[in-house]
Amino acid sequence: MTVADKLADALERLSQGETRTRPVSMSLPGPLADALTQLSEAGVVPSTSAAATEALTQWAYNRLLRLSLEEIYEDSPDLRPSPERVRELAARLGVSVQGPPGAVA
Amino acid sequence: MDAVLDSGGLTAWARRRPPAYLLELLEVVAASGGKVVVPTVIVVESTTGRPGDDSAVNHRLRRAHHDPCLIDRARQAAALRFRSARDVSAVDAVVVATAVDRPSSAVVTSDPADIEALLAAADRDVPVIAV
Repeated sequence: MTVADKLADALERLSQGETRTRPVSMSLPGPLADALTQLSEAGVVPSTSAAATEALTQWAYNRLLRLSLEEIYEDSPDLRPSPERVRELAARLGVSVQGPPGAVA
Repeated sequence: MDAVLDSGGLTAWARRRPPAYLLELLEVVAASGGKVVVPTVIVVESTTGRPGDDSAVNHRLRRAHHDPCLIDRARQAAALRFRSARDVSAVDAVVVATAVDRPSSAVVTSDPADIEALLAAADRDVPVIAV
């Protein structure tokens, strides 16, 4: 099973309503941890756990797209668009992009 | 930016060699932190229930966020469909309602005329990529 398949399985379970939670210990940069705590205390986010879940879910779907594109390029390397074409399209669409297209963090 | 796919968009993505312009869009989506979104109703149009025939589409579906059409979204789609004053499909209306519900999105479609009519009814400037 590929990393993409494992990620897809996890997201599928999540979208089907698996609500069982599990404590996870993680370290965040201090300013971010402070901001999350303050937002939670102000009621802007329901809880730091809810905010982390939302951010991680967004990140996971974005990674899944990246991995899916890499699956396509693995079969057909000639299909990978040039960074220039991607930057041009991003500019036309008025979208801000992070880092070089095709980069897998 | 998220890419919202209709059945034509999903089928194009499921090809062994997807079109170059679709891959360019998906690169922009990936680099912007976005994702591929497939309204669940699209599965009705894009699959047959025969695993062998559906395998390529199912593979890509597993790489996408499946957006359910709950009652609020359905009402929004109905209003757009009525306002567009065109004979557009309910499925296309759900695709547009899904797209306009997001802060930033593009629609990938095989039916750009109907999608653009629905976007005009929504008074939203959302890029439409025709496949």
